[in-house]
Amino acid sequence: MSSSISWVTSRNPDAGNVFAIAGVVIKEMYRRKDFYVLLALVVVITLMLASVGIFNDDRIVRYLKDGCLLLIWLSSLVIAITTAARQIPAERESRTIFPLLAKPVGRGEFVVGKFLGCWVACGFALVAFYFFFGMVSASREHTLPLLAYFQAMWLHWMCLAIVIALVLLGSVIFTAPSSNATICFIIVLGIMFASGHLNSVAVQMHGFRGGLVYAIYYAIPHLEWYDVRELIIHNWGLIDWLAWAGATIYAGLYSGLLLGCAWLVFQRRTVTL
Amino acid sequence: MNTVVEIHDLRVEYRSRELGQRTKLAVDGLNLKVNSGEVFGFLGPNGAGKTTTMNVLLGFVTATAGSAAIFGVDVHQPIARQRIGYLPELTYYYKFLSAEELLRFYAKIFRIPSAERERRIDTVLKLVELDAARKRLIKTYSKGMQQRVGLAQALINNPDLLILDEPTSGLDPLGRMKVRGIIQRLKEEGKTVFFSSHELGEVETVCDRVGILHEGKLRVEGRVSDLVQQYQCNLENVFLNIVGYKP
Amino acid sequence: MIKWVMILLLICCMAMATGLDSEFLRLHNRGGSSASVVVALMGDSRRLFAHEFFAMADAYFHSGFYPTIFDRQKAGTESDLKEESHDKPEGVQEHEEEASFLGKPKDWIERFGRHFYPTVHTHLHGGTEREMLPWLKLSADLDPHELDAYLTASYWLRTSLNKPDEAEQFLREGLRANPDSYEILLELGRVYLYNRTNTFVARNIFMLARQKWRKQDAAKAKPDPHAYEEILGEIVRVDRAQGNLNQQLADMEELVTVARAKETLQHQIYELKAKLAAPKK
Repeated sequence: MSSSISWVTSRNPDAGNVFAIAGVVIKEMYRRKDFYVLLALVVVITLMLASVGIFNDDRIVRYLKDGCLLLIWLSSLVIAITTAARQIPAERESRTIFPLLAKPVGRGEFVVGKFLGCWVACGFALVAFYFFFGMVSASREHTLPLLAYFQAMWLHWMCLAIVIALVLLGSVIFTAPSSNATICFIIVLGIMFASGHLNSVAVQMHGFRGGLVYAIYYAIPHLEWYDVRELIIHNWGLIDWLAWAGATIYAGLYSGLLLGCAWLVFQRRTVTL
Repeated sequence: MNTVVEIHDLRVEYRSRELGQRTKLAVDGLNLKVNSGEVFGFLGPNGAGKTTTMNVLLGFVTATAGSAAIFGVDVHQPIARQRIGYLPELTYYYKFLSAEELLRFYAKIFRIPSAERERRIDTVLKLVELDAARKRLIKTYSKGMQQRVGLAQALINNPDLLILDEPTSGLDPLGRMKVRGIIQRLKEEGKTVFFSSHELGEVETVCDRVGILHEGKLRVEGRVSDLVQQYQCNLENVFLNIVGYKP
Repeated sequence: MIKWVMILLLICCMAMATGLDSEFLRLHNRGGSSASVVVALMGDSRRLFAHEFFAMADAYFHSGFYPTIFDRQKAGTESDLKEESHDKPEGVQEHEEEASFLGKPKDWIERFGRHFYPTVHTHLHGGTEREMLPWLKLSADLDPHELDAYLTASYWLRTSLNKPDEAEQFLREGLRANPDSYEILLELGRVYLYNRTNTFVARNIFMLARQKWRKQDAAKAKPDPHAYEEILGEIVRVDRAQGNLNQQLADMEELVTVARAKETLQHQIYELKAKLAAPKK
């Protein structure tokens, strides 16, 4: 990995700053206890669920996969949102932003570096979570659909990219990380629950209200695409690779848009001693 | 003589929170030059605009009018900060990193090649006497050690311009002496030092030139010896004279 | 010193709790009943969750292909999980119509989004019906009066999963919570009839179910008339299995008064009468 980073930075010197900042974020995440606590919680609760005897049948596995994946999703959202919400306000609060921005680091590089660090850190967390999930499901089903799990994990990671970019945008707008995290959590859960159905709601409304709802439907990021738990739990097989790639590109575009907005807002902010 | 820092008609206004006042003028038409190889003391009472001026030089704040350049590069460009080292007054660094990791991080920002990077880290850690504690996390450091980490990170890129904000604030006499020694050494190496301080005795000892800011305006600028001769008193009384203090 | 005092206090509290617990149970006459932690914590809201977990079992039956609250348009539509487990005949077309809640995608976003969730109507089969059981058990645990949970679980346990013992045990748990439930008795009788081929016990249970139904009918509680038809139908089957033709005829004549397929049944009655009237060789 370090050789590939060197290759990128040799061709694009500005990327070095981004990777350096990202590295610090990743170090922070694995030195804090949050991730380990959540992983332990997921493991303990899943094992408790697995220990429940149901009609003397130890081949029942889907409820276990369901519970484990739900815990993984909740934990990953907590990690992503709290980590990202904390980045810029904590730097300001602890005054570490001043010696950093006093170096040849642009505001854009700072924002992108924070995003990359949070996203890669969440990626590592997801690998750990999904590895555990794979072990649990394989222990009961005696099969391991690696490609399907890889697709699910990848889409999950792409979803977190959009979420992290959204939270970073929130962090340059709201001063308090707690309010940013709460608002983003509500928005993300609301989008995942309802955004896929807004068009049905819009159709039932008339006039301006219907148009407004439809506009919101097209504007918001469709995070529900990335939640493919039902396909994994019920062994539906692989997602069409073109659709998978399309979702990846969509996540990249949306994250870029949100990060661009965050950069524009942050660019205009004064960072005073 | 090369100009390292050039400030031209700098004006900085902040939005005021006071009733009946829309904006607060922090810096008003500041013109200043700092030449290569000199130690420049930037003085003024609290609220004079010293920190705002430094914020503009460091790119933290955008000026309302005027311009500022470091080594001929506009301060809005991140590359303007490639050859500077900055030591803030209150030194806080990532508590979850060790001193070595912190310096390595900043060295990467300056794009110092890896072999040179390790050599520089060793050099600055020995200079600030933190070699023994290099692998300990910063959260375990005392205040004095954190100050020294700050100095180390300001020197990691072997800067040509050092911007120091109250460098001896909070230090014991031994620490102050060491900082003065470092400033003196940098001056002998031909580096430029731009620092603000309230310790006029110190300023009088190390500085070549000083500028005194009051209510956003530069009231006086010149060599310490010239000012002392002009006002026929020590630097402290010159300062008090300029800011209009009458006992 | 304080640490030891605290430890001593803790031991005294635990000893008192152990002693007082049995006194408390005796005073409140709660005997051997064990209130589950979940029930105690959740109160009456558990009934809401019980219903949702039953719907979850239905969703599992369809491998995740299930309408969300935005898709459900018809109120009171019975889930086809219940329909299947009640052995009700259902037209394929009606079932497919109920399941076509998705419809045509309204826009490209919806069309693209269908790659990421189940969109094909399937049912669990070949032993995979076991995957529904946790939700059915949970539903029953949360609301012991949720009869469908007991009936559905028992149906799949005794048919596809070949676990009659577990089915019986679960039904008996349901009977303890619902002693007047003819539905549970009907299902229990089927366990004995079809899985254990014990027609005598099965008949007794069906008779009890019939008695319970009639008691509710007399009390104007409006019990399900289709359930009565099923009870009588099972009794007729038992009679046939036991070779008790006279009893079978009597029961068929009672059945025909409530049966939906009266003509077919009447024809069978005529045939049986003819058989009974024929001289024995």
